[in-house]
Amino acid sequence: MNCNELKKWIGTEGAFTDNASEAAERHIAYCEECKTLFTINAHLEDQISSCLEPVEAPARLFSGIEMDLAPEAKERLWQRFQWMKLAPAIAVAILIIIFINPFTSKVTTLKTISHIAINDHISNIPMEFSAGEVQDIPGWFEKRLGYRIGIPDLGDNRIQFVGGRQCLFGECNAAYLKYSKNGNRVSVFIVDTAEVNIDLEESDSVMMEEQGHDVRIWKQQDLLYVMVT
Amino acid sequence: MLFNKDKKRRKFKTLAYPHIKFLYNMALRYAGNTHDAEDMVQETLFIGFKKFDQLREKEKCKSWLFAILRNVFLKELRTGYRKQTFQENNQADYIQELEYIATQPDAEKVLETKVENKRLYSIIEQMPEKFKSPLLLFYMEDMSYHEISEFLDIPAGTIMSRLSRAKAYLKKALLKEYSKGAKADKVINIDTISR
Repeated sequence: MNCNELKKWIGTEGAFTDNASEAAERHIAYCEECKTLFTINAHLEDQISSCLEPVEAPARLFSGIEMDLAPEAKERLWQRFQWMKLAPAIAVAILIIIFINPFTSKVTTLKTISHIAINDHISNIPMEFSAGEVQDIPGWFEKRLGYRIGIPDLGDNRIQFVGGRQCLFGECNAAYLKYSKNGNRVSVFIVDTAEVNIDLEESDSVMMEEQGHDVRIWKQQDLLYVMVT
Repeated sequence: MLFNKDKKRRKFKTLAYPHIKFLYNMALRYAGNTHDAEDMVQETLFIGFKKFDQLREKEKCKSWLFAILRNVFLKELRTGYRKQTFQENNQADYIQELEYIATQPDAEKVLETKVENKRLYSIIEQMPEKFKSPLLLFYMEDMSYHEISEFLDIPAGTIMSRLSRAKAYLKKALLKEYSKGAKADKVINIDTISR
């Protein structure tokens, strides 16, 4: 590569192959003038890259989007009207279920949670941040969910944290932490217990097997944890 | 029908929310301020939700939303927008400027100088969108020429040309900033000596 070729390369760098980059580096090893051009150009590249580092979207943007996507007033009214018509029939159905099997509602709720978790686990939703990108993970989720999560102690040092994101868990917003164990995905969903009507004590830990997946559900300080492996 | 709408809403959020940060950062460089950027992203997501049925391939959600954002931005351009004419030989001008700076006695000062982010943003803001978008995708998303070409659905040759011109324009503008700074220093030194 000669001086003219190097100047052309600087003007269009990145368009050529790695061979061109290597040729440029060989040239500047013995050409001081071109080395100065190369160094200044590299400095400008660094300046631009550092100025254009992506920033976090503000929390109020997420709130604004949520409001825009919420069901319209007409839709909500229509839903309420439908439920009003069906309310007596539903009340009778619930009474029948309760009297026939008093534990059905609890098992159904856990089953529903399990199904939602498995569906989201299978979907392999892309993460919003990867391991190492966010220092204060509870803080990150607090800005988006309105509550701080606790990072669960999964008790297995083979499980590696991969990333996280906010997600929809049924109808409510939840934190989704993705892990990897021996190349297999492990999903942990964290929901505020105020959003989920489930009767579970802090000492309880429910283990279920559904659709070929192991699901573990436990509660810790007003948060419900659902792990799918 | 109502359950379908809820399902649609859930599916849309799952696909679209991971791209909000990317859309916001692009909008920020288009709009130049946070409030307009937020408005643009909100409008983008709202339009995206309404037209969600038109998205054929889920994997292309990011580029699809970005296309909507670009349209929102182009629609909102004011009539008073100062259109910057891009000269054909931007690269040649840049190399000329670079050679000039490199031959100055205080060339190494350039390496110590940092241009304010605000100034760089305002230079980028003045660029026409067709040059701005490849530039931002290159630096902010670390995309290669081919990835940008696929993302924007524009031939790779066109992307190479636009990106080269955009980078040359930006770097030439930065070098002029450095020159201004260097001249200002000299004036201050002369005054000090006179007293």
